[in-house]
Amino acid sequence: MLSGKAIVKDFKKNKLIYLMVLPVIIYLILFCYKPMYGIIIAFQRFRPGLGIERSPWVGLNNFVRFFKDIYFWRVVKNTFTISFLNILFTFPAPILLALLLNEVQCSWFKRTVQTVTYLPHFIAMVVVCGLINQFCRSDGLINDVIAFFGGERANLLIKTEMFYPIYIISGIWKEIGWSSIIYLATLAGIDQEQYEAAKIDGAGRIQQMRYITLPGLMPTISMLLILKMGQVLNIGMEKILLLYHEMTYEVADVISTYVYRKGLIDADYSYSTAIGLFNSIVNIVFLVGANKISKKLGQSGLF
Amino acid sequence: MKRNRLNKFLGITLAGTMALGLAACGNQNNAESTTGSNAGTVEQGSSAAEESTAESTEVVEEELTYPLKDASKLSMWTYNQPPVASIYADWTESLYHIGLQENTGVEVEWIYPAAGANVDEAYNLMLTDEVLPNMITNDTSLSDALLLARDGMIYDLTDYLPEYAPDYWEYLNSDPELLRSVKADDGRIYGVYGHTEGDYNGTYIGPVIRQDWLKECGLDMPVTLEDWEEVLVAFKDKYNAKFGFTKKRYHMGIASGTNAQATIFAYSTIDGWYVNKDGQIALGQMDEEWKESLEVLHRWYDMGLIDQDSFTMDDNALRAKVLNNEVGVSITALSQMTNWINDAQAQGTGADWVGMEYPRVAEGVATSRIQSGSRTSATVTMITTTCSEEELITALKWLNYGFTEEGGMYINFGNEGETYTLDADGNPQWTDLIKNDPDGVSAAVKKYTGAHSGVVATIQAADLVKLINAETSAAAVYEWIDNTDNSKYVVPKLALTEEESITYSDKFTPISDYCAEMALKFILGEESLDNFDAFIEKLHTMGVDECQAIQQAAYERYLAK
Repeated sequence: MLSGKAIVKDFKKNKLIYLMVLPVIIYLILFCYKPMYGIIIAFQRFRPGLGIERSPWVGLNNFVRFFKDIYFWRVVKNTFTISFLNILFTFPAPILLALLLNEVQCSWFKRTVQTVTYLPHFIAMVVVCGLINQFCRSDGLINDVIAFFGGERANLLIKTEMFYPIYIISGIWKEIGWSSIIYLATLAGIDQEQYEAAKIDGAGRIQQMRYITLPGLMPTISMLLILKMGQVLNIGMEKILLLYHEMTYEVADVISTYVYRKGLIDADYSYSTAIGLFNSIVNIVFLVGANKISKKLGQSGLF
Repeated sequence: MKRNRLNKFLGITLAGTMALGLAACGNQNNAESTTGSNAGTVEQGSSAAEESTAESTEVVEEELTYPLKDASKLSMWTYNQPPVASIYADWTESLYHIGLQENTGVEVEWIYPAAGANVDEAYNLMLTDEVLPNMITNDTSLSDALLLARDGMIYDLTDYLPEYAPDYWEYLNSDPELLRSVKADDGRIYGVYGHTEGDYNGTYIGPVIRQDWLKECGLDMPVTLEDWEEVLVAFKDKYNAKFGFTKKRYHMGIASGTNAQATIFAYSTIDGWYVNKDGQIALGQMDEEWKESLEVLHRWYDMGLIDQDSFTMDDNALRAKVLNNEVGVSITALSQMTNWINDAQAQGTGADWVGMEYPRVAEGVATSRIQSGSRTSATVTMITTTCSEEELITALKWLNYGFTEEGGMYINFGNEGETYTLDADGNPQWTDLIKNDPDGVSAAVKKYTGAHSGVVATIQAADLVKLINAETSAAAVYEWIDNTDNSKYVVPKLALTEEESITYSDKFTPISDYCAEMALKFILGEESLDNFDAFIEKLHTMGVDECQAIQQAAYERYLAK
């Protein structure tokens, strides 16, 4: 353990690094710790006119309401489904891209691919969803292709079975390039001598990838995966809000969209805060769990 | 090693952030917002609940002249659309707002939700602000207004109205129905409402058809549902054009909203509460007639008569389809219809859009349901307890302006001689300033007047609706409102008690979500209509009977009021 003296010493030595982290700490205190006081309203029936001090106390009533809510299982199920689909498909995609790019020798081609793939990251979600909406319409681009091959035109966004593919594929398209940057950076840090040694030992391309590149990437992958697990219930609600509607609620309504509809549209502030709190507790469980597992398997953990 | 420590530190903080971010969102420290509540509570205790209409005559009428002198500065949050963004950066440049300030002598700071924001969201967030604006304009129900007043957020205006808003008070007393429609359950008045001149303004959504195609096909104007089907089939075969609409204007019973009600026309049911044939409040979705209407829509959907994109399109996408000759029949709003007519003229497509009657179940029967509104709109301006007594009085006098003759004309039509003149019959007509405006008439109206889109604290004139729409659109309204039994089924604005209102919102929100979802599933055929009974059964288990009882009780109290 660090002694007080060591901390002071470390501080003196790295004051600039500590300075750099300062804005982040201020941000966290202001936007994450200070508002925590407001969690109290999860145990109240909060009325804006009465404020936190005078709103009636209802104990765990809001939580009970949520567990009894007829949509409870549905939103929880959808949240987990989308989250795990994300981990299954969206998460490995950039790793794959990074591995492939790593093998490309021609540098202008590599750079072009990189630029093209991370451009979509800079398009606002509203615009992306606008595009998806247009493309999925019965007279949209995708249907033009389907019709060209003799298929029947149909609006894709009103089909429940199409929601996940649309959601996942567009997600990969938007973020694959951007997320691959961190892996490419890690790859650049792998000692080239290892490759040379492997080559001399007669290792082929695939074997080099299997025994040098992937193990080199492993710490980064496991760290990002643990972080991802900690967000298992936090699905960006923006995109779902823009793409779902009554017809696809059954597969698309997730906890965060439900919180939004309840809390901000129906003004049930306390109820949605309670759901949010529940959400966070599950997230912590997953984060800690994933971290434990990762350590057990001999990989590095976050803490 | 060093890097590892930093990693750890960051890791822990990050984890904490993620975990707590959601829980913390959407709440505010509200200590300050309650400070003004003293004034509010004094108010409530100060008067007997009963006030009679005779009171207005007893009040010594002080001369109320505009512009007011030495008026206080006020702020106003409104859910209404801000002035046209393409013309003005914000309201401070808006000629209408500037003129209003000159005419009333009251400086008002307008606060609008961000463009494109969900107004319910913006409103609910605004309510949790530490300091509220002086006035709030929103679609707030009588029972919600009552709750706000109980919590000391807004003033009870009942005792102030006769003295400080005499013109509004006089208007309310001109018809017992009006007075009844603005009173909360405790008989008090908590806001100044927007009103309309009559039925003509209340109905602005209805069926429209391509008359040119109808003639080409040699068909008559469709009257019954069978006629509709015949026309839709003919249009599809000949022009590959469909029945297209947007959920905002005609949502087929998918979501309940106060404005764009869905009527699966022809039938007397509606998506939500209505007065049934026995004079009882009933939920439309539970009726046999609702099932029948879903059958019709499902059949049309199966036959490919309904444009699939109707469920996801917005007004602009539909407008493009209309211009592209992909739509032959629609249910739309006047403003959209006017756009289509103007587009057709500009592009020379020859499309001749006219309004037609809502369909009937059979020949010779009146139409059942239409989109309609009462003379009291849902829009209400409430005065918050952030106002001192003096500011409250200024606010009331300012709100009263819209109900004076001069103010009503200004808000509806602008300044006489500048934007409008009265013709020989005394009807207002736009001047060249509006007619020849480089941005077009509809943008010009938005520059100079205030009652065009949404009913603010004034009486929206029927002439205004006629003047801002194409002639055929204005005529369409008569097709929609003539020969209808609609008023028999309409539930008036009900006022729930505090207790009722809390139970009701707990129970009814999931019910309305469920109904919306199922309606769409039934229409698209994802769920067979054979399961309609199971749907009803589920509604019972969700507590629909309790909600019905609350509505029924409130309705009976309304009738007794």
